[in-house]
Amino acid sequence: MARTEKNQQGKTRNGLQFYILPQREFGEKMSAILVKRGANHLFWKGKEGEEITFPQGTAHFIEHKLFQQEWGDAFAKFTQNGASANAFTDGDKTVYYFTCREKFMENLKLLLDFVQKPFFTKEDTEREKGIITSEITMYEDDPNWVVYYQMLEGMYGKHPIKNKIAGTAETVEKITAEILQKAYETYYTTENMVLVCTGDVPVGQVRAAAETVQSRRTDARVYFPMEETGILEKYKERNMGLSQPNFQIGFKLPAAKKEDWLRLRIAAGFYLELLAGESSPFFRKVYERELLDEPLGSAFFCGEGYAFAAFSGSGEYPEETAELLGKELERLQKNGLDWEDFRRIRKKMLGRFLRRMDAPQSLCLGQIEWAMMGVSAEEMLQTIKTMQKEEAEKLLQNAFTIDTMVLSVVR
Amino acid sequence: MAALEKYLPRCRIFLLDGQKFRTNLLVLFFDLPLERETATKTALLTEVLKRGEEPAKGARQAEELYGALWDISVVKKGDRQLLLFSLETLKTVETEDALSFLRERLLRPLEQGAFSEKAMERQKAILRRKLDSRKDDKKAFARRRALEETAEGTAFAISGDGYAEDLEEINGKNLFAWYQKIVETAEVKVFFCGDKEEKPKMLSLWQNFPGRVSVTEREEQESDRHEPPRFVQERTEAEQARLLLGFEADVENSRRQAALLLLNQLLGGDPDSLLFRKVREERGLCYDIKSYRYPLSPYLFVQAGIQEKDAKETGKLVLKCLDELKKQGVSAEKLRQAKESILRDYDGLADNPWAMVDFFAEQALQGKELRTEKFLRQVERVEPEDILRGANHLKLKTVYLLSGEADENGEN
Repeated sequence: MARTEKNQQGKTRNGLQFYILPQREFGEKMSAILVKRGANHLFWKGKEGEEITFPQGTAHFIEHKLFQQEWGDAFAKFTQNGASANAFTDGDKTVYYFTCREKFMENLKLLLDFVQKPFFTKEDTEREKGIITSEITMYEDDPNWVVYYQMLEGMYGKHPIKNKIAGTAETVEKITAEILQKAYETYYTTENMVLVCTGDVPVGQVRAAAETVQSRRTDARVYFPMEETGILEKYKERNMGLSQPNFQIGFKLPAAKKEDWLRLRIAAGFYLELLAGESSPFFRKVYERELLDEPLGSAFFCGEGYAFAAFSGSGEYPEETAELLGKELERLQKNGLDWEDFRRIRKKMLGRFLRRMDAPQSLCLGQIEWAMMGVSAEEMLQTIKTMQKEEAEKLLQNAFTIDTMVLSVVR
Repeated sequence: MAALEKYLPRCRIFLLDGQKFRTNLLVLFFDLPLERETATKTALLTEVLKRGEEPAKGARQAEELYGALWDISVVKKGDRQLLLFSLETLKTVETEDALSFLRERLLRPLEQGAFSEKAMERQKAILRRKLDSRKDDKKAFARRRALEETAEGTAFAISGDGYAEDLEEINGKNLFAWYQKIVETAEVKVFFCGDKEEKPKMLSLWQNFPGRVSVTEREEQESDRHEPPRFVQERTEAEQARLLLGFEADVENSRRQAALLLLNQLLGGDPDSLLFRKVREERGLCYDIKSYRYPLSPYLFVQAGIQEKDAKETGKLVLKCLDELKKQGVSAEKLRQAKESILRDYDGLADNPWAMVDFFAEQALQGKELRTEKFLRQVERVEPEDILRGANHLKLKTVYLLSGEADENGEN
């Protein structure tokens, strides 16, 4: 069984945070740079208090173009070095990563180098617009994507979480090389970056390489428009000519302080399973009544200025399904969580969590998520082990309410 | 290929080294020929065996086993349909408990003597909905249609998920008889990736599948390679058009198979590949472009998400890239990179139990050795001439375009 030597976490002299999680039995190595800035970070106040607003899709556009360096394409360089590299952006973050088996340090240096050296040219930026617009169009044909954003539009009026990560064809058109440069300088500050390395990596050399990352700061401060606690619309629908409706049932929760995110997320993990998981009374009911064929998928999201839970599924009768889910929520809140069920779900959560810690890739991607909350794998594990039924009830009893439930349907 | 008959134990158990993982992975499958007559029955079995009459029972038991990941599914590999049971458990879970969970899913249904008609009707409705809703995923729909058109008339074109129109004929009785026949006569392959000490417990599965089977290596299915390519256009409600080019390749021996693997990598396998660079990066015609293969089949596909108006231009450009490759060949450096990339993927098998099982299952299905070394040597030996030969033997069979609904003028 994989035994990890002591994990290392800390900060370099220049303030770059790092998590080095050695796994000696594995041949694969992975490294990622997490930038805690993403599609939501649109509104800023400059040094003199002046407003700075970036077009929607700016963070994602940077992600596309950062690989383009003055000397050539960093993507191709990774391939030549025997690594496969990629990147992704979501509301809260942008992540650049590679996996390889050989030449780890060479690739790590390349990663650390290219994320610090943007090279946005007018010509490149213009050409990329067509590619990004094609990406946006591709997502528009994905019912899961459409139904998710439609749910967010029902929940959020002002918070940028409602915006699509890549922006729209119109906002992408507004983005210029100058905007990319300015956004880069605002987003990619050392205090907002985290280095994660997993697999059979040389700890000392990784730390030395991390120390070379330059200090970059900004005087600008991000802010999020004040969001109402209530929702905008209880029901939203769109026709995409599907054979069977696809839907999301969302519950908007009050935004939480960053220090509470960890316990809130774990508590929500229990709550969502107990409410609608495959072994729940809810699933038994909806399966028997032929409302659903498969259990609802569930996920909990919280970040700066927002928190919500989302259940996804497909079935002929989304309204009835949502109504039953609402009733089940009320029943749980009235009767409290069942101790025996809570115990069983803890076993499931522990098993699934430990499984994520196995291979270098899943551990690295996991640590990126946990780093957003400022915690290590060990802290996550301890929180799952020690979460009490009463705490989960207390954290969520008042936050979850059918008054902030939104049903989004794509037919 | 000459027919060669040999007798093998019906159940073969393969043990893979999974000492370093926190979990044990157990995969058992019945190896069935993919035939239209039985494809839907086998697909329906997954629903019946998974939920049966007590839909949440399996889930509850798996939660007790520390959230064991389990599934009963159909996997299509070339012209075979595998009815597959998988179970991944933490090593803290006793192997006996894992085996007993598996046996309950696998064998308990046979003790009932028949499948209940009521549960069956429910599960038929579920499968019907699943089959109907496959068209909602435009990307997957286009891929499946392109395969159907390209492989028309062969078993490769048959859907492993079944056919809605074939459900009518199935009832609790004939499905039960089909499952009984599978369990009693079909070839069974078991892969266990975990601790060596668990081996004796795994071998106990032999008792459940006694007997030997006669294995006849099938004749290669000949297709008419001289037919001109067909253009098929279909419309759906979609923002983006999807263009697919289906090619038939020469996979007669292992060397040519290895060359095709590399050709695919060079053509559209990664962000440094020919199509990605020429069609996406240089011309900005699309975001999504790649080439891909199906395991154990002789086909290679190129897919791109485009604007309908660019379909002709994109198609021509893809063929032009292929022509350039045929004329100019591939540089030693590019071939080296492609080999490294593939070798890296296969080196990485040892780090991923699922990938390991998948690779070795494919090897076993082809009657090949269960070792990566030979396969890797074949990849290493591929020369630029092999790539050239592979490219020259690619025969364009189908150009498939899935586009949005046409407006009144017939234009999109």
